Amino acid sequence: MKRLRVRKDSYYDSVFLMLAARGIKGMDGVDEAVVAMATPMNVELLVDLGFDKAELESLSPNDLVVAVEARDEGVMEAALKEAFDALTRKKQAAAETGLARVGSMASALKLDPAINLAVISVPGAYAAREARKALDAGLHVMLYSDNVSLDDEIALKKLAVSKGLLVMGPDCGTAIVNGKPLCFANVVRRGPIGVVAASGTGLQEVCCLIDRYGSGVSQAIGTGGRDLKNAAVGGMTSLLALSALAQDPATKVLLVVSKPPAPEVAEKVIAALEASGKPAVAHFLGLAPRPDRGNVAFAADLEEAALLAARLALGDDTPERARANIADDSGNDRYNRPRPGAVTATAAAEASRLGAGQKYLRGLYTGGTLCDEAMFIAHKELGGVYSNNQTDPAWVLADPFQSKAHCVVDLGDDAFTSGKPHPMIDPGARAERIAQEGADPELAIMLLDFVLGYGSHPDPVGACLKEIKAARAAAAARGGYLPVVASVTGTEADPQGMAAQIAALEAEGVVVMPSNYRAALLAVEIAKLAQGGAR
Amino acid sequence: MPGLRGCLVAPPPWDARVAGVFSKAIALALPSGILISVVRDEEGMEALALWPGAEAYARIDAAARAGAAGDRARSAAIAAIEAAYAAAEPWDPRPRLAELSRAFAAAGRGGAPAAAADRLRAALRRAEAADRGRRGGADGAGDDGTIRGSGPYGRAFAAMRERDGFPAALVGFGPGTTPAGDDWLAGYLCAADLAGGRGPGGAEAALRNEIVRRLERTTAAGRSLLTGALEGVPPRYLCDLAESLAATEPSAGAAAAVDDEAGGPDAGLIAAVESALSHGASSGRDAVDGFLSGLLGLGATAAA
Repeated sequence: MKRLRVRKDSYYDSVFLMLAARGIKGMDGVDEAVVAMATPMNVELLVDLGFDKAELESLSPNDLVVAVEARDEGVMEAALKEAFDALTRKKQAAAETGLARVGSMASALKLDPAINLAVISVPGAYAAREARKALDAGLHVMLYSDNVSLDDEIALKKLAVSKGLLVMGPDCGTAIVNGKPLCFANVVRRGPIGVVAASGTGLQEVCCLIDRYGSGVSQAIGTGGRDLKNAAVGGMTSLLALSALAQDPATKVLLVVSKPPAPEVAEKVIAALEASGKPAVAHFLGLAPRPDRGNVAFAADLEEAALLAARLALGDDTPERARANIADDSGNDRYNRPRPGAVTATAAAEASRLGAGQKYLRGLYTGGTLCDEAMFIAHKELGGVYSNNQTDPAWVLADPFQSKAHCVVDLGDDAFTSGKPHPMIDPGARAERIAQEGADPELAIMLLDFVLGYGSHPDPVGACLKEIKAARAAAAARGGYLPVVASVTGTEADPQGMAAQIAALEAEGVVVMPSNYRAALLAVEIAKLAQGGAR
Repeated sequence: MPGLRGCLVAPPPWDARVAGVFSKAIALALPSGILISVVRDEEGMEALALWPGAEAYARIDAAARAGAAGDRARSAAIAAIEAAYAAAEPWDPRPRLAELSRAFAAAGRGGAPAAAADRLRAALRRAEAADRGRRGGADGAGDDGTIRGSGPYGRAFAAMRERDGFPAALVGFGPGTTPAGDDWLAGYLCAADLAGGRGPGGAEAALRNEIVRRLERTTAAGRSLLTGALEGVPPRYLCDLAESLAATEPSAGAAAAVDDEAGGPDAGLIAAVESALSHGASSGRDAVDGFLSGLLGLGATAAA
């Protein structure tokens, strides 16, 4: 049997018309169901389906019609009732799932006025407009989009500061706010350390290491790369974040990590750390560490930054005491920091198997900050390293798709990601590059990072294992040997599971070090031995 | 911030309140802005939209809610709208769409709309895969109630494609408060304008005339959408899609661009498609389908 029911001059959102139709079509005994506006074309369709022509032709396009074909009277009435019930409870249904889809920021705010943070990931050309809307609505902003102009960034951050709101970004890929990981982020323990970072994988690395050292993170605020690097931006987000963390009773220790900052901005940040009165750690990649100053400890690498922050959080009341306790602990590896002797021994064992002509280090990175950390270490120790991230123009890799001598490549750079997903999401490009490097007889040591957590590929190690195996086999076929050294940035609670990822690497003979810093040290040591002909 | 005024197309739900009544205009407060209908003469009426900024909007909306309470509140709403309108910057996407259309033609894409359609299809596959991943859905799940599925709408749509009068016959056809056929046509016209090189409102004159003739056959929301599209002012998400498609440099080989394993389209285009797909129950998806057909329709014409 077929029946129509009409609601004259009614407006319902399309989403709910569709939900109502789906709801009744799924009922046992309902053969067909259409919920539609009674336009002439829809009326024609319903007539073709056998519904009452006379009744339909009296309707206008602004009338809602529910048309049901059902097995019997009972099913028919239940279906018609369900259709109108579904329309009546329309907004409740969206709220119950917690995943309501809305067409605009205004609609989202109307749905839940308590929303106080917007994550914006639209093409850069439109991102500033959306960010401005969010700030105008009183929301903090995480601006994942890149290609936002410097002028827009400055204007947005000035507006945000005037409202006491954070603009994390642009090009900010990671943050942990109130325990919630945003975009690329790891599952780390909550705790007393507040992190502010102008470096994406730098933030991930220190948060994971802090977790491993037994402490935790109160908030981790990404700022976007230009926040500290560009004097005109002037660290507006970093300073506001530090001010908020200084006042946050749950934050006992402050940690700042940044790629090389503008000198005057670095001074402002240090002054803010000092003024906070809380124990603090700063690490500026690529800059020589300074002597500790008052409550502020200056770390030499990401691992030390995390370790100092963890020690301070665990009760060491001064940087001196934290350093002393770390030094005291170096003998028992409590923090999983291999002693220098162990690194040297591993390097010697690996290098001893190299073949003739194998001489170069090749780092293939998915994390930009991790790449920088390895590059700075290798550049200093090996007398020069080419990279697409080089700050020294003489050592900028002319063609990032082709390695040259000692070389560390950031595969997340725009040159590689234009039109493609970032290699942390899709490691395919890195797998190809591993295969390409594996064919080079001058390759002596391959250095890799694997970044776990939300946003990253579900199995970053598995996505590269075939190529790693092939590269090692190719070296063996040439009469040599290919050492592969890696670090895994992650925690056991991450969706990928850290232990399983490490085990998969080690099963292929990869040497997995406990931090990117340690991995870089070992790789450099092997490269030095290769250069010096230690084999 | 200064507001915007121009041919903004408000996304649903259209939960409107009368915010002000002027001597020759009426203003409706919608969640996304103020819609002002200006009566110029007996036959001419112009629809303008205004986004006055959050603070001004809140004042106007509050006044509109209180409007029924008395003339004073209504007067306050009118005064607030007038002030916001005076301060707002004009917004009209047509000059930009005209630039994009010229750029599209100049870059040779006007002669190769099929390649552009391939890239858009690849972006659509990516965006839909990501959407399915987020929702845990299956491929094609839930399409039965749409013009793409195997249900009554889908069957009727397939039959209509084979008959004379397509695509004008789509006016008012299909599910949704803005019937799916109207969304499809808005996408079609936007793409035709882009790829045809004639700019907004310039392509498919005969089809446009036929749509005008049929406007009474759709809902009020559908008429509003189509009126904008006919004038070269599609919904903003279609403007963004056109921008992303025109802005994307064609890859060295079209085959590589459409091969997901080789990388596929750029992130900007995927994001624009994702944004389109988020509109309505199926409005954005229907409009993207129409957009694809608009590109290919012009391709067939050019080839002929």
